[in-house]
Amino acid sequence: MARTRFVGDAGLTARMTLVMFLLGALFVGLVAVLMGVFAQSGSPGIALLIGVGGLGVVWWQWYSSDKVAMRAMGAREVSPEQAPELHGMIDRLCAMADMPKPRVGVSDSHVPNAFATGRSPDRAIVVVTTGILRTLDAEELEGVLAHELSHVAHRDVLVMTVASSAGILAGMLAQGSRYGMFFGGNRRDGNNALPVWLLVLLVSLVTYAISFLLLKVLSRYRELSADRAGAYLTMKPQALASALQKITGEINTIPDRDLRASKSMNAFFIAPAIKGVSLKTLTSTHPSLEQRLEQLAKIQAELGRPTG
Amino acid sequence: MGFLDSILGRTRPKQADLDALFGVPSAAITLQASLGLRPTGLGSVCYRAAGGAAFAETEAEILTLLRNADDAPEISTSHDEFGYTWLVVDDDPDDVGGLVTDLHAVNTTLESQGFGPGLLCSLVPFEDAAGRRVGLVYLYKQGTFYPFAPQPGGTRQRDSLLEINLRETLSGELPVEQQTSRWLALWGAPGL
Amino acid sequence: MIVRILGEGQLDVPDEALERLNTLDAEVETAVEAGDEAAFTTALAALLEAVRAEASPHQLDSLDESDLILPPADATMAEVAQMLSGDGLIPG
Repeated sequence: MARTRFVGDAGLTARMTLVMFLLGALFVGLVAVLMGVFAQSGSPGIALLIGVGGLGVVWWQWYSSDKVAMRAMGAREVSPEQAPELHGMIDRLCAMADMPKPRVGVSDSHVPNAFATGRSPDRAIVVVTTGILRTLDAEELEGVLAHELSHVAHRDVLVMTVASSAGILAGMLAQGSRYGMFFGGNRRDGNNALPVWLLVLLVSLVTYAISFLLLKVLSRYRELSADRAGAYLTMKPQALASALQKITGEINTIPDRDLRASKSMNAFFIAPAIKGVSLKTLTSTHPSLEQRLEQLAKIQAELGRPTG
Repeated sequence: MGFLDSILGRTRPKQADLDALFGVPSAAITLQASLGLRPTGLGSVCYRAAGGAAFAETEAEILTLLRNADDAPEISTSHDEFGYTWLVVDDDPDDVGGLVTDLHAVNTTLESQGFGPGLLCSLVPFEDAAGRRVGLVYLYKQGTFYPFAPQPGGTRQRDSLLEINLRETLSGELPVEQQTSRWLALWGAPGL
Repeated sequence: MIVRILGEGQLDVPDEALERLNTLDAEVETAVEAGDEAAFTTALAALLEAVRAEASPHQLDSLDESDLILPPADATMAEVAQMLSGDGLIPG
């Protein structure tokens, strides 16, 4: 069998599985609690209806992820004739990874960043900003593209959207329960239990907070996995390492106004578009720069181990 | 690559399929018979050079291996605009079998050191009576072949008519890549 | 030996300095075990200062694993305790 230099990271996989399980349990728990609450007022069916409605929203977010992202970033698709080098680079990486080639987009923003989105590998798009094209050299850009293609290969849009279903449902409920307060939802029923809408509001806020943190952790694991797969694809971990250092350095010098614009797209960006990257940013969607550099250095060592 | 692997972010690098190259000698005969295309004796392997000492060692080992063989062919390496390395073997045009064996030696050495995932493609250029150059390209990761026929005069245009013609001729002989979007344009590749 | 101080990057520490750094490191550990935040802060500051004094910045563009990763200057004791216990469920 061909010898492989690929060394998996069992710890990362184990922790990722655990967080995905917790998020799944959170969704099931939320729907179960709702059934209990609504059963109290005689109609548990509503909860199932809401649960299905929530899943519908989740499905739609996943299904239209590429269109939404393109509009959000004001990106335009570029053909091979318009961007031959970019397409040539992506063609080769997709051939190496034996994955379908995504569409390619460019977004006019001088925040140096790149992202990939789309509901499946053969319905995906990779977008780079003009800022990143200006900041990185060819090899570094290739490292970033390999990272983004790994997001596509790992179906991160699907994973992150499904994983956020508890959060999305909770968010919907929090909105919905506010209206419930006005439309007679507040009559006390029987043994002066709390009004239905208040219970729903409390449960969904708690769920939302938990899912918010778990999603950030999961997003950091996905970034580390994308770094890992990207480094093995290009076999040049130092290219992505120097790209990350350049991008993170550059981002810290960009006026706030731009960063706010790209803040909403943060989960899939290559580097956290926030200033002051530090260990303590529990809510950061990306592992700290140093954590990523250490992992890339480890892969570099694995790739570089002298022939045994 | 398993769905579960992709969901858990554990994609393994794709290994190369090395054996299909041995179909080239018989395909060369068909190309000559039906389209008057003769091998030029050239053949090349395109791969990514990994960072680090191990790869440099492996590459040096390959070069010495090939150059020390008796009646060794001309070996050279070059880099293309995308940073890929082309290892070019310039052998006797009538010995396509020998050429393929040399290319295979490069592939197996890279693979034995764990650099199989770095292999992108192999290219065997052919020439017609008028000196027109056409490339038969093998994609390691897909295990398929496709034609690459640049228009003469370096205008970076492709002669897609000739390419379709070549595809039909070869479809019985070799596994041909069906998705034309995967037919990489290899401008300035050695021998074209 | 390559030491990374989180938030500050990597430093090359000469081996002969290790002896002294280990004693300072032990003080940080005892402070963490004793749960004495004040002693911890001074011990950590002393350790980081000693490392910075002994070491020279590691070459930026050479990608090497750090042999030792030290907490950032503004780390709290809780964070260090969590770091020492390896990667918990919710790593930093």
